[in-house]
Formats: sequence, structure tokens, C-alpha cells
Amino acid sequence: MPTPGSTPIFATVVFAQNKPGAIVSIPPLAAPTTFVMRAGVIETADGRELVLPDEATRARVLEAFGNDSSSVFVVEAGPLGFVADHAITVEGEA
Amino acid sequence: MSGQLNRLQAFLADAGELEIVAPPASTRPDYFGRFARLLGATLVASHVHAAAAPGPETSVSPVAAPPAAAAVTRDPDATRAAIMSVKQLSARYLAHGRAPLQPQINMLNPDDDPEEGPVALIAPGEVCRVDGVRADYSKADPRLAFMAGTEQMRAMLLIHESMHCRVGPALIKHIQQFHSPMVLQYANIFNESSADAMAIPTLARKDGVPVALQALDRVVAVRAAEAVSPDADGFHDTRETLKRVRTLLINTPEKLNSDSSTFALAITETLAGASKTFKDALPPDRQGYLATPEFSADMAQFHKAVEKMADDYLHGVFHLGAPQVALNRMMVPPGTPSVSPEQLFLAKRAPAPGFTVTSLREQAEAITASVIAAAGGQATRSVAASASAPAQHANTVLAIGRLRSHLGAIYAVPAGEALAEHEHAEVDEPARPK
Repeated sequence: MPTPGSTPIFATVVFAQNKPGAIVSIPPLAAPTTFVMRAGVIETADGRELVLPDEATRARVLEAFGNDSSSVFVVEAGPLGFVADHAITVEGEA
Repeated sequence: MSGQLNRLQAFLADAGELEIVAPPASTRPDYFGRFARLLGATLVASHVHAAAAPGPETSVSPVAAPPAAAAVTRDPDATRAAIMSVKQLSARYLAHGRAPLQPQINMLNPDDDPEEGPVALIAPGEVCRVDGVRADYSKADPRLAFMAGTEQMRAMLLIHESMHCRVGPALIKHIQQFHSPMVLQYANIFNESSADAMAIPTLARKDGVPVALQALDRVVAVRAAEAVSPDADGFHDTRETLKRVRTLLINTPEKLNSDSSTFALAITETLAGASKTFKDALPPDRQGYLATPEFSADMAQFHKAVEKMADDYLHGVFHLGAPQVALNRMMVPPGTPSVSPEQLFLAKRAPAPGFTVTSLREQAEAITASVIAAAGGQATRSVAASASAPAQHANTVLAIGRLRSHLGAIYAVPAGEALAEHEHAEVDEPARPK
């Protein structure tokens, strides 16, 4: 579960016409971290929740992740470009 | 960093149309505000170190004397550690391939420049460059030692100087476009008022209204002390604006957490104080100016400019004129009244940059393409196929460019017209407001 009191990260989700999976785009973070899927919620290592735009989008992301966890990944994107992409691990499999 | 975007490349190769689902506007990140907060938190938490406990903040007299020089000291180890942490932060945020030039944050060792205060320099083309911010200004200026005497005030100073960089390009363009005899004076007043008007509410958004009110009290005290100083330039007298900031914090704090347009409007409303300061500061031989059609036209134009600037810098249009907070020898030495503020202001303008927004964007695309090409050369198995086929690789580059454009349209420039106008304009000449 997200750490109580931690600041959520509002994500943009990108789906592709010809590809399964999704990009979960977030602003650049202040410090390196990892991402984990825990109880249907994507979180940073320190418990910050990546909030997806709506329930329908969240359901699509979870379905894609369930089919192939490597098809959903996080990208740090700023106003001038991209910083890095990150895999999302499943809790207990990191 | 070139190997860190392999998943993105693989996903976008032959991806077809992209469907982008963005969060509501109210929760989209304000990149500049976020970066300022991020920098502020880093600097305040790890770089800036006040050994002595600050005095009470809430009972500051408007004419209170600055604290003794010994009240604020620094810890060399903390400074060194902080310099490293900010460099790491800079390397991460401004990673290779993300910026058109060579942006980075350089933390100067205060021992190298023991006598300097904070000054904002505008450097078009640099994403964000901070050459130095420190706590101990006591050797340079007791006023600064007082102003930087608490963590909140140091964060406020950082945001204030950063805001100069944010609004500076628009001000220079305004000065170039309008040749009213009073335009430079108004621009200087607006420059300081807008920086204070933006810094205090930003602090309130980060740390809460009570903390911001404490900082506000201290800023008002500093501005009042400056106003009666023999060296007063008039531009830094932001008290009329600060009155309206106080009203905003106390009466309508809900605007602080509202969407960007409401917040921008609130900032603009506080800047009505800049107009009053301008009127009050007019010399006797210019008082007739207030009754002229020229003045009315200027005021209307100024307020349009204020609206535009507030909207633009909240939405990141000026991100190319990026913050550079430096410790340079830009303080006006005592005993040099023969140099007018206008002369100093103009003298601080650096040569024209020699590039345009369009050329910068092309340069950025070229750098991005080279980064992607380099990543392709070391591709993992997942992207080896696309990297081995030049046409497919080119498609990937285009797909990444399109995605960047889409995300940029969502986050950076809700007002499409503003972007179009800015994209076709020359980069504003740099200025270095203090």
C-alpha cells in the first residue's frame, strides 16, 4: 500500500495502436528509485503511488501488466524530453 | 544515460497511433514550480546550513536591524556534501539528450567568492543553471544576512531569483517593443514585484500559509529598510504588492491550490501593487504623465503584459530563459551613485545569443537523434531488430519526437497561440535583473 502521507505522482498513460502494454509517464523524480506493482497499485520504492488518470485507464494498464509485466513501464518525462525508463516489478519478485 | 531509454524505443517502434490519457489539468505538474521546490528543498535541507538558531520571525519590526554577522555561519562539510548532492540531482534531471545545450548546476564553493549575494542571470538556451546559493551572506551585505536568516527565507530567495529568470525575457521584449519614456522604470518595478509576488505564494503552496506569512513579514521588513536606505533604487519597494499577497494568503488561500489559470490570475491581482508603486514613484516633473492618454495606453498595455507574463511563466513558455542563480560581483558598490539603475540594467545585458527558438529545437532534435543512435549501437536484444534496420530506426526517432510533442502540448503550453507566437520569435535577449 502507498505510504500514508506520501505525495502521489500523477501519471499520464500512453497506449499504442499496434503494441500491447502502456507507458506510464511521470515527471522527473528528485532521486533514483524503483517501481513495484503492489495490490494493483504502481508505487515507488518509498511508497509513493503513481495515480492513473481514471478507472478505465487503470483497468487497461492492469490487464496489460497481467498479460505481460514487461509491456508496462515507467518513463520519466520532462518538458524538454525524456530522462529514463524503468521496469515495474511485481511485489516479491524484485 | 544513452542506454536508459531502450524500453521507450522498443515500445514506440512501429507503435502506430498513440493514445495519450493525461491527468486532469489541476494535477498536472508545474515543471518549473516543481523544479524550484525541488531545488529549494535540496538546497535548504542539505546545502544551506545555519549553525545558530534564527531569531523569532513573527515580531519583526519594519525597521528592525539586521542580525550580527556572526549569527549565521556555515559548515564546510555540509556545503561539500550539498554541492555533491545538487550535482547528482542536476545530472539526473538534466540528463544527456534532454536539453539543447549543456545545462548543469554548478555549486560554487562559497570560500571562492566570499563577498557575493544572490543575483539572477538569464542565460537563454540553458535549462537551469545554479552557480551558487549559500546561507552566509553576512560578509557581503547585512541586509542579505537578515533576508537569508531562515530556511523559508532562503527558499524564498531562490524562488525570487529564479522568477527573474522566468519573467526576464518577456520584460526585455516588452522594453524593446514599447518606447514609452516610462517603460523601463515600470519594467524594473514589475520585475521585483513579480518575483516577490510569485515567491511568497509558492512558499505557501509548499510549506503552508502560516510559514509563508512569517516569510512575508520578514520580506516586508527588508523592503521597508531598503526603502529608507540612501541606496534605494525604488524598484525593490514591493510593499504595495506584498500587501495584496497578504490579502491573498489570508482571505482567499483556496486560490493557492487551484488550477494554474486561477493561480495566475491571483498573482496578477497582487501585481496591481506594482502599478501603485509606479505611480507613487513618479518624479514631480512626470506627475502630469498620469493624466495623459499615453499613460492610460501604457497602463492598459502593461496589464495585458502582466496577464500574459503570469500565464506564460506558469505554463513554462519561458523555459528556455532558464534560472541561473549566481554569486557574481553584480552588487552595486557603495558610493557609486553616478551610475543610474537604467544604465546598470542595460549594461548587464549580454550580447545577443545568436540562435533562435527554432534553431534550438532543431539542435535538441539532432542531439536526441544522436543519443538514440548511440543507444541503438549498444541495443539490447529487445531493440536489436529495430536498431539494425535504418528505416525502422528512423521511424522510432520520429515516434519519439511525436510523443515528446504530444506530451509537451499537454503539459507545457495549454495556450497554443502563445506557443506559436513564441516559436516564431527570436529568443529574447538576455538580461540580468537583480
